[in-house]
Amino acid sequence: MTDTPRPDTMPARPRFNWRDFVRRAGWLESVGIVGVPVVTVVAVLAPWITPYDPQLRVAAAYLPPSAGHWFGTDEIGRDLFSRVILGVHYTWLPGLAVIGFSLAAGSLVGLISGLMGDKVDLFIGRIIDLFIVLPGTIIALAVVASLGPGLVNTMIALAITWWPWYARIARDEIRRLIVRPHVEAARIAGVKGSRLLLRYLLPGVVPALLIGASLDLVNIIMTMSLMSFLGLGLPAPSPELGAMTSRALDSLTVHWWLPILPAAIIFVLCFLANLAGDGIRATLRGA
Amino acid sequence: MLAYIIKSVVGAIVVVLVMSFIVFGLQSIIPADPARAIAGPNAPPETVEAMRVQLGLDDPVVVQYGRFLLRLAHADLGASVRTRRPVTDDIRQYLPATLELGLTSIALGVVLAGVLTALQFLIPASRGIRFAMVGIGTTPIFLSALLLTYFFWFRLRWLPGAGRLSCRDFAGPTGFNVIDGLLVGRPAVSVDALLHMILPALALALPIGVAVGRSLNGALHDVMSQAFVRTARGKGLSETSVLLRHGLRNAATAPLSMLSLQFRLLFGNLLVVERVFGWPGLGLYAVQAFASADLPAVLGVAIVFGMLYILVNTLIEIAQSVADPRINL
Repeated sequence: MTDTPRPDTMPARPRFNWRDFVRRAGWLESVGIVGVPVVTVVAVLAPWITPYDPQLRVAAAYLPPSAGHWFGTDEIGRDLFSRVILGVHYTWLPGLAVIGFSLAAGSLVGLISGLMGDKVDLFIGRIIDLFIVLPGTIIALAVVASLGPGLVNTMIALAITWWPWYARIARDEIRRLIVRPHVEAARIAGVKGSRLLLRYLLPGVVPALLIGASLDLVNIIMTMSLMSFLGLGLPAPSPELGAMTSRALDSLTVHWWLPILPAAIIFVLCFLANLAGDGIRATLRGA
Repeated sequence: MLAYIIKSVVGAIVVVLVMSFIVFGLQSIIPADPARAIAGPNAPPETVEAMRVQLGLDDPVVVQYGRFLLRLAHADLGASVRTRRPVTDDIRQYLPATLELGLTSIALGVVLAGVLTALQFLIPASRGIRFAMVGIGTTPIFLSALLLTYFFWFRLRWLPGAGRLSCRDFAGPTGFNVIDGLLVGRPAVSVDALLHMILPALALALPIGVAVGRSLNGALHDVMSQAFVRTARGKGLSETSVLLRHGLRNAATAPLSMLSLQFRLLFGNLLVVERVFGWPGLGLYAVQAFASADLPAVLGVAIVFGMLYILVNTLIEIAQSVADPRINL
């Protein structure tokens, strides 16, 4: 008995039905679930799809938003909308990368801890707890400030403070699943090693990790733009959204669009990510 | 209780050690050159080298870390590269402003959470309130700070939007302007200080209020549908009394955890808000330290914030065990 028997009475796997999906997720949440991939595509293609060259003077300086320049122009006449689109590239993609890296590293540690059990689990569990107690933002800020500002340093600092959350999710899920009857049955039947992990344990762990990651996206985007706002991101001319806001801070009362609109786009990104997270949680929780 | 206090003190020390270890450890892995950053990109090599020796950066990282820990044991955080003063003096000068603002915003956040929960009880299942809360919860702190200054200070001229006071030459005994104004018999100063605090404290309180409010609302809904609440109603207690004595107390654990989670974010937000409002506290000090690669100052602020964080966490855990005696400290 090496394969799971599938009795004839078992219903066929239902086909994907988008009406059902939208009903389970909620319609606004579905907008978020669609919006996140759309934003990702825009972020990837950003350097090629901006209406104007974001680094060049294309009009008079300080033009307010108009039909020709949706977000107006900045202090040297660059098109703010083009710069904001490019800013999405520099804010969104590193955020996804940090989530991806923390997810991979964290779940690996969590899986090892959960599978080994006993003393290894106790030891790794303590380390995870210690990292979770640490005030992450402060450490990330201190790390970047001491290493010098830059995108790579920011990403390293954030990944260091972010992985333990995924490690805990993966570890707890494994410990929960490993005592469940279906795993016990598979073990008695002689399933072990990678097959046990891949077919019997991981399918139960992945949804929890995905829910965690999707709810986390908004936090990471928020933290990254906060660090970039504080001057810890890329150096001056590059259009990170947080840095654009902070550099234009003094012109708030004269040219409000310069600081407000980049920040507003961060809000849109966070709002979409939050809706998507809620929607993914709603659809995966029962699965 | 004593054991618990000892445990949290040890916890605070461990957190400071691990924090500084991560910072120093990464410095040895990733090439960074603070001496070059301080001297400037165009400085001649001799200046950079002199700066390196002056900062003790020519020693191995292990030696530097050891020296740092040794000084830390004597409550010495070194001298700030930017202000040329001991970091502890700087912190002593700027900490009261940050504490005043931080405590006010936490208090305001808790009040907001209560108001939001009450609103949701009065207007149940309102999608409008729910999405407004999601919206406020996902607003980056600098956007809410900017919008608040733009409308309430620049457009409407209702409230001051920068600094702590209108007069420049006020210095009281405690550093908390609101209290100092009363202490030295100038209540006008207290009022002025309160007015200056409204906008920055509101910007900081909004995310706290929304997050804690959502959590409190969820917990209350769960608790109020339980059997003991039905019993309390059945024996004739008034609805207020049921809500406050049976509902709120049993629902307190989750929102308090959320409050401590929000506290992690408050430190980062403090930096932003102090920068936007020109609030002369530790946050602004840290932002200026970032800009000038002032490592001793950055580490000093991080350590103070880390210790405050542990302190508040401890207080919240005590509050949780008071609300629910089943939680053992």
